[in-house]
Amino acid sequence: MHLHGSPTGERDERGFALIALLVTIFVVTIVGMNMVAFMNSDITHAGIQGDVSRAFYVAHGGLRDAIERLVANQAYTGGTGSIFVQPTNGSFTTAVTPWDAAARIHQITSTGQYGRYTRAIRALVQIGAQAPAIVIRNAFLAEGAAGAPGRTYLAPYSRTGAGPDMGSFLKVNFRDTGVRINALTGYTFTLQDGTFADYELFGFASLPRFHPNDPNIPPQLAGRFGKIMQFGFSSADFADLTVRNDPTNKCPDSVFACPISVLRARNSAGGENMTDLYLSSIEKQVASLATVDKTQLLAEARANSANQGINQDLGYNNDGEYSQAQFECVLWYLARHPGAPLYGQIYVGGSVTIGGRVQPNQCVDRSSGTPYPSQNNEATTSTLMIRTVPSGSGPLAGNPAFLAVDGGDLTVQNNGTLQIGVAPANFARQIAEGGVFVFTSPSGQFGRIYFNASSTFRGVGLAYTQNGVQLGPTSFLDLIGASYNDGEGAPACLNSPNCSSFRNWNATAVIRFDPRATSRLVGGRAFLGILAWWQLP
Amino acid sequence: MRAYARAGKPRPDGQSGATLLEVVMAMAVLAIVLGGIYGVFVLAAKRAEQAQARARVQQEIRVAIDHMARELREASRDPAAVQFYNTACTGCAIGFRTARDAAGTFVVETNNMLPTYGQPQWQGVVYIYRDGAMLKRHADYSTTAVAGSPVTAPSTDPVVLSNVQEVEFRPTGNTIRLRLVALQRNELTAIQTDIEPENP
Repeated sequence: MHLHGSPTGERDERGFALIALLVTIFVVTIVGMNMVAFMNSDITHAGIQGDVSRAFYVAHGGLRDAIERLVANQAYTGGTGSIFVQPTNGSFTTAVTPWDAAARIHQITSTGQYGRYTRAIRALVQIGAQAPAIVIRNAFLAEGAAGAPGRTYLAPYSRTGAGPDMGSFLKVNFRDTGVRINALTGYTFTLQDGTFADYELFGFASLPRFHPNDPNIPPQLAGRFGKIMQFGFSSADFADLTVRNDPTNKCPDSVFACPISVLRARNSAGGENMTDLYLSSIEKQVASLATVDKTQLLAEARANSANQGINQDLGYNNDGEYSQAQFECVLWYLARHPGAPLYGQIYVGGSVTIGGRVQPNQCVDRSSGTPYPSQNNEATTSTLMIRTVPSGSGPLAGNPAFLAVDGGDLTVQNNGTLQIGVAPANFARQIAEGGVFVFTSPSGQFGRIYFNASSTFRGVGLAYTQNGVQLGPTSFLDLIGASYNDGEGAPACLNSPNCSSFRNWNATAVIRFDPRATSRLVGGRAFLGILAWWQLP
Repeated sequence: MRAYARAGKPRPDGQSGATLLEVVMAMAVLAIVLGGIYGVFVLAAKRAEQAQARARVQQEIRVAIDHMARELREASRDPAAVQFYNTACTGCAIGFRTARDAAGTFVVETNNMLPTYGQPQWQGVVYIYRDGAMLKRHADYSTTAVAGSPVTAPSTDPVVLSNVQEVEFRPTGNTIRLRLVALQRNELTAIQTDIEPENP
């Protein structure tokens, strides 16, 4: 810019506007570039965050992939795969290792990669055979005279969080008033691990009271009982089972799809007497035919030398396999030596009656200097305890306790008691492999458990029968584990109290479900759940 | 100026140049032009600053949400294990069990006699709460019971997010809705996400 003029007298001011324009452009460019840099940084951060999130979900997909493969093949050790996540593929690598083989708990580590970013997660998952706590392939018959006990509780053993489906029934038949299934009344009983009020079995700190028509069923109940049961609570009395009372129009998929009616089995006479509650389609949905490999049970029993003293005194081979007559003598021996338990795996060919009698000279007790032969009609023990093999027993230590009855019935009578594996040792293995197993004879007879009047069963593991369970008046069933009762071979049993799959006749039955107890079941293998889940750094 | 020179007489001293009026007018025009440039500059700088502030606060919220999402995903699905607190603001604090110990290790129950065998062994309770304009995290390893009322705010609690304007923790079915709004240099930024606890 020149203030003085040119020789022609005119001042040259050309370029003045250009300079101003250049300065403006320069400033705006600097500022604009600055803004773009920040925006670019923001976009980059958001992009990284997005890719990291994608990597996380790819890892999640890898975990699910590993679970599916593990259900199909328990020897699966992991692999790789890819998942399309918009706009391109992510890849995952999984590694599966046994965490507790006996309890069928596996550790899965899944690493997801998307672009340059990875996320790793780890989970403990459990694979079992059947999801429901109690499988009744025939009728579930409940009978309860007014004022009589007649209580059945199907509760989760682990009381944290939502549980799996609690039962599977072809038919639920309530013959009388006064029947209670999961009816929470504040009734208190002493179980093998403590004294509980019934509502405590379901995680309630106090007796819940809800109106039966309230649509807001507590989610913890709906979650715990899956598709099988839903509960309503009457302000007048107590919680009760809610199912559909319509034998003609069976529920199509789940009870939630049906019009719901409330079964009220009151404390006193006068409640509704609802019978024939059909749930057949649900049974087909959640339960599949399962069995227990009895050759495996027999092999384990033959390797059980933990009862050397008893076997030696009776003159038997030192293993856990007995004929019916031999086991009667074992029970007779235990009556002569009260308080002594059996240990480990016991397999009996024939029937077992606890609280029965023996024939003269059927058995000889050589525990003292003079052998003592059994007398005519001498009583056997009415209390049989089968314990986990204690520590200090060499390689047998920790072996689970079970009683397998092959080709007969298991009967507990004369106010008798049967305890299986109650001692709190090696619990995970006990509950996965222990229990009581009752098989039919080759002709299809027997295979049933009878807990006669005032008898008691306390046990851990799977209670499996091929022909059902009957609980007599005032008897008591206290099981931690699972129950599978078949009765499918006799369709006529549907309406017969004598051969329904599960008959509670004025008894108290408390079955607390632990999915590990289904490990013995063969067939219908299922993913039981993620026990724990966490992210790796 | 040129017009003046043409219209007026030649100056007595024979010198040509700008008159004061010309200079004043030139400076006035220049001032207007520079003022315009300055206005554009200030506006652009302000926008840049806002963009910077927004980017920063967004990133801070993202980091805070990522941090909380990790912990909440590892929490228990059990409704009793999570507590939402409504105090000075609606749903602005949450308490939940954690299976990570003070060293940050995720602990699993290894006692096979317990029904929770293989499940998370809860080590304590984590509270995330709003303290004025700050979102803070408090870990209590003395108990695994989630308190019925929110913890008081110890000054030593680490800050998860600053310049907080709104916080919301809300149960939505199986998930927990987490909404954070933060302010920086008058830039209000909100991010919302739903997180599902995945442990029993």
